[in-house]
Amino acid sequence: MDLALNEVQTMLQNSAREFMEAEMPKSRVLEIDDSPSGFAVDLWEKMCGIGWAGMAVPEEYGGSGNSFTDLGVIYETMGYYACSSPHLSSAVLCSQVILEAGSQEQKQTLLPGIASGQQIFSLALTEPEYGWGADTVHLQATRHNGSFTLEGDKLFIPDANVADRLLVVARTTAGPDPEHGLSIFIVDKDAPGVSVRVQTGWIGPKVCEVNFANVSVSESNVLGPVDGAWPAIAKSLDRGTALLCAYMAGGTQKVFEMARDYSQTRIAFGVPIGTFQRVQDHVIDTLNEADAAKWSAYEALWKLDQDDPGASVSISMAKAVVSTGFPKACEASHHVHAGIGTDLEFGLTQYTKRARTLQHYLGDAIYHKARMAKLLAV
Amino acid sequence: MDFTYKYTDGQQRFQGEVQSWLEVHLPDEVQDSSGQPVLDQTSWGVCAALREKLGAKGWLTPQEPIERGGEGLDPANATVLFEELDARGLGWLLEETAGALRAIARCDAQGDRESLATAIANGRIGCWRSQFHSIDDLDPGDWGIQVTRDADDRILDGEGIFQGRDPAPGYLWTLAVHDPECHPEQAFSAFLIPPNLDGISIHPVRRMSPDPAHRICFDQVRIPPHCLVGQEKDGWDLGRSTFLIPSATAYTSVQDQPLDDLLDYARTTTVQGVSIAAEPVRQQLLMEAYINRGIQRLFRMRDTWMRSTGTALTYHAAQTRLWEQRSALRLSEITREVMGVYALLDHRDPRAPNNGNFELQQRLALTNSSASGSDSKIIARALGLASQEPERVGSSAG
Repeated sequence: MDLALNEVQTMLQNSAREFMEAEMPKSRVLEIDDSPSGFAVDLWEKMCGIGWAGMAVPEEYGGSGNSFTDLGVIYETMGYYACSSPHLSSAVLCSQVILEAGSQEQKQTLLPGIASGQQIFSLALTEPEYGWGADTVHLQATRHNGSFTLEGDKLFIPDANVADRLLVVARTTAGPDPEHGLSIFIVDKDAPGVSVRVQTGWIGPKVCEVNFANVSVSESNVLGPVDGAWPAIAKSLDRGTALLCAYMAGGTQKVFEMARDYSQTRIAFGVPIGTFQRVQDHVIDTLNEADAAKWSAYEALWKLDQDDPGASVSISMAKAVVSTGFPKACEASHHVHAGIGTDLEFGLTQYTKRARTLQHYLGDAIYHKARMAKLLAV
Repeated sequence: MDFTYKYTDGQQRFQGEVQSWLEVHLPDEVQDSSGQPVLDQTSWGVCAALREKLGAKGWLTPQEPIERGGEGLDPANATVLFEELDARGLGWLLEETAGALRAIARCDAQGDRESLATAIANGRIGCWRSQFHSIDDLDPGDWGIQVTRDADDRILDGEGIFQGRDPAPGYLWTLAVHDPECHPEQAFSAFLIPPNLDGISIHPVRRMSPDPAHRICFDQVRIPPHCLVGQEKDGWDLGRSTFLIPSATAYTSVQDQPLDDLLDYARTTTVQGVSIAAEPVRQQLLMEAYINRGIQRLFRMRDTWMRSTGTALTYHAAQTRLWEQRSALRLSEITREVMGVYALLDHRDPRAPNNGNFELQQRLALTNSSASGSDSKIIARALGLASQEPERVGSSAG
């Protein structure tokens, strides 16, 4: 048992903190959130410049082939600073789908662009019947004269508005087993028939509706086996979920620290409010959620790196923990901060917005608990 | 990082030794006595015999030197021993003994007291301890046992709740307050008192928890000088040392039979031909309990790792205890929601699932949660959130 970060991870953590401290003051977070695209090109270019986009990509395809725990350290830091970027969509989810499903030629063609950050990909999986299992994918891909035609809608797709290409998961064959009959299509975002709309609401990072109206995709742009894409998607979702947990753990830690610091300095009735037991209870709740999030996320990442057979259970456990804990910690922190906490300039709301959005992304607690029960044969 | 918790080769060898010993010496009746509502004389006799055997082996106080009745084990092997006993529901044997012994040991015991310590360590004498959940919560103004001085003797008055399973303890280990207006650190003295002194009366207390408790009244009880442990007004400090006793949360392994039993129950119980574990709402509840146990394991692992690396634990151990208390309470709610009214049947009812252990867990969870306020205070203090202390008249606190 050794729960310390190794030397490389410690260096990554230090450099990530330094980078984020310089690039992501809370005013910048608000600025990016308020922008129409929710995307800061200069920030993305700097992140790619220090090699973050290639960390999950093997060296032979232009990446640095880091472990998921290495990347988890970066994600925890990004979450702490509420950093928005297409990293999870492109450099993790899509790169892993390509790695798992793609042909050698597709890997060689697509991955270097992702690893350098010059190409941004987005995974279009979820639909109006929102969910993260194979059974919720209904968008049809019909084969016709050596190509496929996509018809239907994808909803709540992060980063589709800033992506160059989409990896679209579609149903090519209907049948009793929902995991069979799914295929992945590489689609240019600007292809004829594709339209993207940023959805509105108190959502952050931004998500999009993507409509496919008679979109033609050649067979060469099918990623992996027709009808047999689900195993590659499931593996990639696991990896992305573990990293998202680290991001949410970082956010929860920040929310705890904000509650603790504010309760030490805010004076009411002549004393710091942290001396009141009710306030202490809220701060302790945020601490408990932060620590539960951190350790469950790191255990999941470690199991992923070890190729442990129990990794999927741990990943679902971690996501259930953060999907519940991050929003709860934010609410407790709002109770501590009272009115000032709702001031957009203050910085807490950016975390609350992320907590409520990411709670659903890659599966909410209900989904992951059901998945755990299935994996554990309960 | 490495989340594998495994014993070293030395620990594995010692674990084999402990298991072999327990196989030979552990009677069937005490395979798991922790959950029994009351230890009657027969089963207590078996426990007492086991306590003596453990004492003779030096395993009741395993880290104490051999000359003090221990075995001089290093912390790593002491962990193994506690985990093996705790896995069989017998961790309390070590916990009951350790408190008084640590206090005696801190006083550089000589003569009579040293032989008393040896008798306790050898398992020949049991102690009851006055109940308090945390030294930080001790309020002299609220403490029920008062002491006054009469020449070299002390006179005790008042009453307190004592805990201990031995039906015939050799000593009562308690604090008594000199001055209820004084700051806690100077208000208490510690005593080891024979229970048969004039003026002592013992009354059983009926509580939700199966752990035996006793209300003991002191009516002008004259205490000879040798019953004072340490110096006068050392009680707060000595009481603090009794809280250094082994506690299940100090170890990495998590014994959570009630959850395993509940999962089994849900898997194997059907309603209209369908397992209740397959019912979505119950399934969610079961997984919530499973996750709570997972976090409990991770917190314990973190604490163990911090101790092993010499990292100071600040809020951590209290957080682990708090999480465990809350998880146990939540498990008891989940048990009722999953099982329905069957969760309320105890071991006496022939229709009670799992011999009534589900009902027992609910009572234990509620009883054990009574210390959660203290743990919250410890965490708050470690986070730099100072509490508002009530004004004390004539407080000498600096």
